Amino acid sequence: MKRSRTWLAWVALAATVAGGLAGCMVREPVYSRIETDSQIEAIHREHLSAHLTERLDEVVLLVVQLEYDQAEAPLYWLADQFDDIQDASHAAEAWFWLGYCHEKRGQVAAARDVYGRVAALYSAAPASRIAERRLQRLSEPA
Amino acid sequence: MKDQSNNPLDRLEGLLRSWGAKRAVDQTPQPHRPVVMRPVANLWVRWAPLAAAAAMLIVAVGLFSLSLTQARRGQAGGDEFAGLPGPEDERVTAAAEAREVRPPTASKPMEVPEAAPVPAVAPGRRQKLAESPDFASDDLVEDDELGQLRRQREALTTERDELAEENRALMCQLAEADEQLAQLMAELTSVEHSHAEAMSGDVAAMREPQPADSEVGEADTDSYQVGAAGSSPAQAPAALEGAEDEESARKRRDTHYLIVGDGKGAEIPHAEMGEVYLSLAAPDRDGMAAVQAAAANRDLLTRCQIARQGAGDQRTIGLLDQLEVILTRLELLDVGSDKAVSGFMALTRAEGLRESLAEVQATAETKATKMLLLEVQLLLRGADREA
Repeated sequence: MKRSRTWLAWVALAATVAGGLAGCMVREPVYSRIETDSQIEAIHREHLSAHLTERLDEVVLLVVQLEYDQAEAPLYWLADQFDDIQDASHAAEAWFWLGYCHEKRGQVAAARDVYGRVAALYSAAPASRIAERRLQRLSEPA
Repeated sequence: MKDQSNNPLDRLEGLLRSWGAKRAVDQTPQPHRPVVMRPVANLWVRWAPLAAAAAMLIVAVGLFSLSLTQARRGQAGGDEFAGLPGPEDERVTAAAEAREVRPPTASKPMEVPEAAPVPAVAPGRRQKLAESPDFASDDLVEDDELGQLRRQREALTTERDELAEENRALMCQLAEADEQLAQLMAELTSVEHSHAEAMSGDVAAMREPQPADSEVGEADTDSYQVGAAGSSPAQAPAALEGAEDEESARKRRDTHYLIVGDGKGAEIPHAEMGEVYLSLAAPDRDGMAAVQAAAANRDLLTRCQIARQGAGDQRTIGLLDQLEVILTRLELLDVGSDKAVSGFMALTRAEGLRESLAEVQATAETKATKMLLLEVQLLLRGADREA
């Protein structure tokens, strides 16, 4: 009789532990969604892109304040970073603003180069359209 | 017959023997009572797992219900990674905050402020009050509460009526503002047409003298000189008015005055003008998409570049350079992204930009620049409301 009660207690303990584990495993599918390397990499890229986009906004604010010379170096770095994470849209925008700064500083040849690069490499990005327009304007005789 | 001795000595001996035996028994040391081992250890072994099991069961049930609640909350939020722990939670929290912070893009209807909260009354007492209105007459405290509730109800009803009246008046004003803005947009469109004509070299039609020339203020004259070198400043506005009669010309001047003001700065009479401007310039869009479409439809970027080429004042040039960046950024803007929109709005709130806009607009050299700056002001005002 005593043995059977003890045995019953251990069974109850095991059932409790199993129930607790089952409760914790309710969230298991969430982990399974991000278990692949590509998904983890995509999340990392998304985080990085958001961070770089905020930096890009800050640099464009420099352009609004007509601080073209101060904006050039960060823009170059940002364009490179966006290229690394394959964010074509923002990369095109960063390159475009770099060309814009070159243009406003009178460095027409450099601006043409950058605009041409944007138009050629990022044809699907919105910045490509504006770069083409500005490139056309720069090519027109004054 | 009993075989019993009647000898007293024998009886005495017998008594002594029995006494000695009792004494011997009493004096003999009794052996210790055997110790009965209580099953203490067995009891502990038996009940400890049960107690632990019960405790763990309670904890497990608690964890299970907690995780279910969190999972349900994550599903309700629609976030794919709602339950993600660790560093990922930061992103999820940020996304959730962004969702919460995001303001509605559509224009909100006028809201009537909610009534003041009614003080809490115990359910039983409330029921009694509801069942018999005269119940409170027997109880002074309840009478006070009922009277207070009635007074509050009357006050709220009065306030509601006043707000409804005010709302009607405001709606009337808004309708008037809409009507005025429709006239303004018609005026803007006609100015744009005449400007385009002047730019395309159709100067002859602009130079044709009109009887209403003298009535147009000096502030109206500048823009029509663009591309019409040598023309008289007073001749150009005649192209706008054409063969209209005096009454329509006067109305046109009035609305024009409303836009341009008296030459000292634009007087924008209603805060809703930005919104109305967007609804007229981009009627089929909403939110920041309307701002983007309005800038595109009104060709603000190209006009800004043209005005920049013709500007002579350094302050105007600087401002137009700033506007060129902002309008370009607006064209590149992903209106579906809240972060992008907030980044763009930060640009439009660059230090001194709004003030410069108003000041340069007041002292602009040409009317085309005045119009452009005024439209940008309206656009930014609309963006403020939509973002």
